[in-house]
Amino acid sequence: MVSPQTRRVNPDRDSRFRHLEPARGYAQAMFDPFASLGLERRFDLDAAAIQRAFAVRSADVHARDASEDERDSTLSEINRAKALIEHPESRADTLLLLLGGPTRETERSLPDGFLQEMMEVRQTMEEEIEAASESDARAVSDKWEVWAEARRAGHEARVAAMFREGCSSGDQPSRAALRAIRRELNAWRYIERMIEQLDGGRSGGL
Amino acid sequence: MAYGPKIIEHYENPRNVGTFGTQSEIKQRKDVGVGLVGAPECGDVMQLQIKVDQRGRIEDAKFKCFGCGSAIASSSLATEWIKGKTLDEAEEIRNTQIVEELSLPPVKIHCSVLAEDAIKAAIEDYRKKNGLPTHDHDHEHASA
Repeated sequence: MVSPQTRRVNPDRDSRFRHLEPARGYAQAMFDPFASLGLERRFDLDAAAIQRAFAVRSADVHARDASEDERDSTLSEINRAKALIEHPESRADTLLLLLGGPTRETERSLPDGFLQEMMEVRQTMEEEIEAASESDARAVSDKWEVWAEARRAGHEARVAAMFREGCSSGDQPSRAALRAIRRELNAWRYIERMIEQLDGGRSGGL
Repeated sequence: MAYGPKIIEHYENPRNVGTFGTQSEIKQRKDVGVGLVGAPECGDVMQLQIKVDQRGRIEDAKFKCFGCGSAIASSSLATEWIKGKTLDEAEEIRNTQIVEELSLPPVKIHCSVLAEDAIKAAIEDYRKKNGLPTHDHDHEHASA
């Protein structure tokens, strides 16, 4: 064991670990996937619009008179851009960072009572799944997935409204508005985690 | 990703899983402190309860964790380590010790941070319930 006096290590705040999750946080703020795909920087984008923009940009790249390296580099960039904004949660996270909002690491707050609710829901869910027979377990799991999907839709709708409201005047949203969006996104992450675990079994591995 | 034998052992046979009663019972009990913490980065939730004897030692500990195996192993180990310690001693446990003991890979270090936070939160809850002076740990979160 190391000495109890050893300074606490938090990978989110310790520069030695900063390179480990480049997709979330620091590097993301410097890359604008909306611009890369020629899309307006906003949350309200449907999957078809993103796919169309991606297809147009891909076709442009292939038609361009450029070296193979240049083409590969641009294709890699637009693939990365699509991956960042394709899923609504990731799109919201990316947009918030581009607007100068706080990262998950710097703004960790949650709506009042949310953690307690999550604990109770997860407990009930686990008990129901464990108590169910093998044939019923899938139905119980499906029931909770429906619950989680409804919660996800609620978070998505609230985040969409918060972005619309915060950006409505065309000005930079206030710091308070950006913090409120992060708080909503933090809660949303727990729901996504629950869905991932319902899809992947007991705890999603080590 | 390669995991060491200790983390796998704790994941497969977690120690001290459970609670000391229902939520309303726990609220009434002055000998039990509860720490409920979460990690927005990954959506894990962890609850750690300590039962403190009249001499101020942690005589028992329980946990529940809904998260990845590393978070489960970290909280399982934390409950083992704090048993028999005074509150001040338990408060000295650092996530680095958990990382070292379980050989946690760098991408799972936040799981050890969660366990350290849960210990501190449970101690704070116990102190508040019993009118004891509480410590402000916020400064420890601001580093690097």
